[in-house]
Amino acid sequence: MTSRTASPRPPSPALPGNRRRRLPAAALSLLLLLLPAAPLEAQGPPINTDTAFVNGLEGAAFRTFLFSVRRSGLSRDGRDVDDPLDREVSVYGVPIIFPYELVKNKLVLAVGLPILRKEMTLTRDEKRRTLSTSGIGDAFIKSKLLLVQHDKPGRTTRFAMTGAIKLPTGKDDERDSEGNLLPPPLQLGAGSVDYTVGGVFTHVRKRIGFNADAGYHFRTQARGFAFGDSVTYNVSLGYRLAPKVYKVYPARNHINAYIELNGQSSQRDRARGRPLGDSGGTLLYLSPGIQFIPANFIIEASLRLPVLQSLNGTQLRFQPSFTVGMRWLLF
Amino acid sequence: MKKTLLTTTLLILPALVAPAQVRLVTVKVDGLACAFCAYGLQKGLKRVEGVKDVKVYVDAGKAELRFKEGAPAGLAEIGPAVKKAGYTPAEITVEVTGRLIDWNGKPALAIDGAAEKLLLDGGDALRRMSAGRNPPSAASLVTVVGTLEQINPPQHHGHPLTLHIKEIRVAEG
Repeated sequence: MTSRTASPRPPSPALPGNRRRRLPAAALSLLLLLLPAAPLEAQGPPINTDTAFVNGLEGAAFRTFLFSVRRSGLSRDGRDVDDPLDREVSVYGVPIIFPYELVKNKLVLAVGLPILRKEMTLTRDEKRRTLSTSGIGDAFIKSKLLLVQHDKPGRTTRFAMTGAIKLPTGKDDERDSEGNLLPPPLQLGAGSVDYTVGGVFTHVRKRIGFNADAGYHFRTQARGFAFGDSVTYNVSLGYRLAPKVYKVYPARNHINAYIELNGQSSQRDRARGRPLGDSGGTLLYLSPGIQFIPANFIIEASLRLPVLQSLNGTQLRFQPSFTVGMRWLLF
Repeated sequence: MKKTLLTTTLLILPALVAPAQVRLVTVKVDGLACAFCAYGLQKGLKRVEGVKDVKVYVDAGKAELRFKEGAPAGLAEIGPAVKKAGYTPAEITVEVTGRLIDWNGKPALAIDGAAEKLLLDGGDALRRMSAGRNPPSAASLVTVVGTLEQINPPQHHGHPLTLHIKEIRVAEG
């Protein structure tokens, strides 16, 4: 169980003092880490993975989407166990992302702001209760610098470096109806400034596209609490279902299909410098998706199926979720 | 009567001959591997001086540019426009009608309404045409299809672009 070191604040009934009534807040920490690392930073086709392009969609398309993350069912050291509180957690987010090509075909900046809703439902005193927060999450500024570009007829290979900073614009002191501070993973923001460095590789050849990205996320602390550093890694294979032969741009029946693997491995969270046992771990999603491109915008949807969960200690398991969104060429 | 008819014919004849102009430019583009790649490329090429219309053929990896009649054509801008859009220009093929002139002892094509001339490279094609049944005169309009040599800006300053001839014929009236 984690708690912020905020002595002026009254303790939450879920905080240390009554282990049986504790919320597995630390067990949710991977949840919060996953939010900025995965969908929010995976821009451009494919759907949940980054691309090394800095032009086209990457430099000129407004993007927004609805994503969900759901957790339920308790797991202890990899084995399913009964949860006396029957907890369920749902997170819905709508990030709004604006890119801008600072240097033509070289450097792009993107600014993103998520709107979040987080809910935890549990049984306490034989009553079903819901804790929830809604509002603006932590904003981010991401940059992408194209380093390698190798073009041939009908194909291209590119590599770019990425960097991002996450700013504490989301509230991190939301309370429940009794005035108790909600656990950190249920807060809209982390309260900390965090940093990301990474790289992206792209190879596209006619109807087939391969993209892979990896990033390291440095988490700093806020009020004595820090989420664990993490590594994200994503691989995507895309295929143009239609048209079979792309003649003149724009084609009205352009459909792409994707299959992606999206993963994250996180260190344990730390409270007052001490690692928390029920936090961190590795999560891998298999994400099939589809895009429809009628003109200068994209409509896309992706399922996210957890195929590997190696969660430290006792945590809620991740359940299948989805992403639905659109991108619109502005410039 | 005969004199009037001849004068009238001479006055009408130039109007019946195709005007000197850049007709069609086809640029092959390397790295054009997706639909949204085409969007940026099309936008960039539309900004080239004199362009009326741009079509991007994604799978074929090329773009076709059509120019406004009588307007100057920014041929030297095409390669840089492709690079600026994020791709690599390969072969640029031009179909252009103009008048044969001499530029510093070399054959060149003057395009009416355009500030620049095009140096013609392809001595065999020119010699075959000159030795043919209807050799062009100095004032003849000819249509040339050829590949444009892209010269680095420092060398291009004041120096015409070079067109490597694939085909040359007297322009049809």
